[in-house]
Amino acid sequence: MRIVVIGSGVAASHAALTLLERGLAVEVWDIGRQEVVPEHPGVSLHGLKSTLEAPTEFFLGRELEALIPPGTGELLRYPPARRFLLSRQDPHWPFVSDDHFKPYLSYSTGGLANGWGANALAYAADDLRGWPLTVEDWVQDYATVARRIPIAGPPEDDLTPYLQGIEPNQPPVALNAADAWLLARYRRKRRGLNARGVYLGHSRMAVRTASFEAGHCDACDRCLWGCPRQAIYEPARDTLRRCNAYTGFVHRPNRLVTSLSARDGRITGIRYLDLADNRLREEPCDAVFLAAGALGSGIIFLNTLAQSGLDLTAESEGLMDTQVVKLPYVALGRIGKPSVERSFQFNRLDLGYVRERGVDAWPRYLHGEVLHLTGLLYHPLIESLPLPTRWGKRLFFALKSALGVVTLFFPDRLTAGNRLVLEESTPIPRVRAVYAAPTEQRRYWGHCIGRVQRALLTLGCLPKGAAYSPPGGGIHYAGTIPMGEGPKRCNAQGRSNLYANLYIADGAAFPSLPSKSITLNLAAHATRVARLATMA
Amino acid sequence: MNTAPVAFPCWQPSYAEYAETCRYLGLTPQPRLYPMLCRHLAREALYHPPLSNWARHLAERPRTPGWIARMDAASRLFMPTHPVRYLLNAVVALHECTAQGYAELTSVPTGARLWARLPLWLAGAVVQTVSALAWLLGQGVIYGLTLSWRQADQGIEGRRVLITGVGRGLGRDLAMAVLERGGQVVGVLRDRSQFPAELRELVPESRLTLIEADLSRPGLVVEQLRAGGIAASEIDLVILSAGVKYDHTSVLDTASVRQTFEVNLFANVDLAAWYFAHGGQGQIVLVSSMGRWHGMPDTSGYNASKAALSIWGESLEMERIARGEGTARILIVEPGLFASGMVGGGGLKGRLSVSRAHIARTILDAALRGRRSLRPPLWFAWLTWALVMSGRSLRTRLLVRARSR
Repeated sequence: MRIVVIGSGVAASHAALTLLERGLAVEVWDIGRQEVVPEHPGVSLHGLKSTLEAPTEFFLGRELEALIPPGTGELLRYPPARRFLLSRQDPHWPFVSDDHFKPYLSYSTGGLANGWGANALAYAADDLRGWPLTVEDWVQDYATVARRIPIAGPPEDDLTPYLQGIEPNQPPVALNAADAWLLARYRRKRRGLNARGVYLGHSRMAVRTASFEAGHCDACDRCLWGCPRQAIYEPARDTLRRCNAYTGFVHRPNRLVTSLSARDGRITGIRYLDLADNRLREEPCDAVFLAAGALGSGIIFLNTLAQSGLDLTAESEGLMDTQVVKLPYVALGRIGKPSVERSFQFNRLDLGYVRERGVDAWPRYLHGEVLHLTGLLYHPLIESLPLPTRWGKRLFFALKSALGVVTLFFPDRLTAGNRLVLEESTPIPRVRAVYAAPTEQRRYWGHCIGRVQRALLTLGCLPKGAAYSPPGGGIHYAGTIPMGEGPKRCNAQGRSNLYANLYIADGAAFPSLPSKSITLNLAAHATRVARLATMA
Repeated sequence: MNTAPVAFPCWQPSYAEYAETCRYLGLTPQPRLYPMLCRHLAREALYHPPLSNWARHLAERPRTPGWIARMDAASRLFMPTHPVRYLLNAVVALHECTAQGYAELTSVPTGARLWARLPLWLAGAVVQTVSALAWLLGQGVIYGLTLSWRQADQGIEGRRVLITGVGRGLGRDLAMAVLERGGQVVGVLRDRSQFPAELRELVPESRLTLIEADLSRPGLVVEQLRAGGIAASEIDLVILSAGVKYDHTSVLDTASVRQTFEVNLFANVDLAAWYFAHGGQGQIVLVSSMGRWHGMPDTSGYNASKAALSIWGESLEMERIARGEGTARILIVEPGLFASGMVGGGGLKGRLSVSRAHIARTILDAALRGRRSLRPPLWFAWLTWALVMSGRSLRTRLLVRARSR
């Protein structure tokens, strides 16, 4: 029996490993570009400036592509030293335009999870409201995933009631001085803040922190640039490597899947572009797990529909992405303190806002990440200050140890009109994304932002504005083949309603997108789909 | 290393200007970073929408330390995407990636010393901003007074300009100015490699076409334009700026005199004939020289060729008017002392010389306003005419003495 998992990201690798653990033989097909392995372990981000021969090229890229020009409003770009993101100039870029939705894609083994911010949060019952399954259905799968992924976090804190479902198995990430200051302030103001629905606690991160673990985090401040000690979990390196231990496992790179061929309600073959010789080929299969990311899987599914001869439009049932809003602030009590040169670079603290009442309060829990500025490229921040650069850069570095940002992740739901539309079928499928945030969502965003900014003031932090990511910039894509009724959807076990041996193992199957980081839940969903799949 | 590989006039700092910018920001200039800065700014210049007249007016002021400080503050308030912002932002970005630059940027006091400094910094920022506003007001008045002729400037964005001699000197600067303002360039040069590889790589093909032609070979340039698929009717402006000058060569050296005339006169005649015969409707700019008003020993007929060019240009204009062949728009440019690459750059001559980039943008502005003659810098034109009026004996004595030095 030939089972093919399409993709190699977090969903694909957990689906494959689960199938292998069931004793089945599995092939993983992906495009398989490789990430650059970070060098100089132990050297901090700023230490690289004196260690590397050409630090400017490392930080900004050969063509200075990470140099953010004035007037763009951008504060951060993915480091050019990371290669996992697909360039929009790539000949295989599958979007015909990105006017209203600017997606990120990856053709690297490991997929977008290579750039995961490492936040590992399980969905709660409230997050799954409206899904055709309950959180109890995932308990076993969260437990499986927790054995595969290191989760650093506290045994218990104020966020515990809202961040259940998975038990941390590593000590929490070490706080730096700014984090400790904020947490101490929170503890003093806890009662009032909790009454207003605001909670603060340690972050829950997929990172090895226990000192007895090989390659545990040494706070080199290089998370975004690629962890040189491999302390942060990556599916390609951690889970696919475990798959390799099984004799029934085969990894086939250089395959860009274009569509699936079907007969009598079953998938019979996979059409792909063989990137080794740029020729279109087809191979038979008995079961397919789509796990190429919500966008990638959606595109393959639409192209399959277009070539099936069925009377169905090649438009997806939905398209979702979280809206990311950054709320910068100045922690007044930290002004004049020396800045931290070594730290875990991603967020060490989480903030939750729990809204008790109101129609729009789904989910009740809105997740935020609290980050105090450590290693980064600072020129866009200096450029954003309303002072001449000479004074702006002085003021910025004087305030640096006091600067922080709360990043809020607003949920998304299936909304009429938001979808992928297939525009071209051959030689590779290309789509157009249609997306607009519902207007009622904006009221909800405004309410939450106001509440969080007021909480920051209570904590002795001066908030300054809000920066919204453009549509598609949330990188938490979902809902292109969602669970539900209808031919272009799948059932609660992820099985396609149209094809009996096609399983939607990634976020394409999610019928809504809660606020919490999606990645750990993708792993749990893929594990469950692979666990329950019936192999006739 | 310290020469800008590509020179867009409003965007590109010289190394000295880069060093001055570093000093202003409290940084130590790093020669290794300068080419990167230039390349980045060249790319931005090509993809940035052309500057407005007002932004260009400010960008074209001499880049003294005071200009950097004033433009830093002024652009913060009113022009967030002015080239000066790109310059300052890129300098900070490049330096923060090096150990030395990062140490310099982050060397700020902490604790009580910081609180003592903060009011001083804020006061400094206020003083700088107020001074910038006053300067901006002054520039606004100057700009307002010259607004009437600026409004006649139709702009070059999207228009196609044929320029000869883009391989070096004034021709190259003219090409840079056209590209910076959003125009398209058809550049004629002897060898493609004369044009900076950096620029060939950066500029999209739709904006830059290079035609190789040795102008001293009669008729070759027209052949090459035809072979390159260049249609005269698609050219909006023709700037004939290629020129050759053989120093220390007798005016009796027939071969070099002939070659000088081929490049400085006959190639231009060929091009103009091709242009008008094939539906060209735009303006022609002839780059002559103030040297056309007097003779000069040992220049192999350079002055004579320029005299011929100026007089031929006038004749062409008259002829087209007499025959009723469309609106005759011939701009004859007779530049004086400027850093053309044909004159030595040192000593008093070097100090009095106007920059080539300035001459290039003056020519372009004059052409866009439809002027018929231009003699920059004007003081040099008056000096030349005084010399001409002084009589042949005095003129001969002075020029022979000047030449022998």
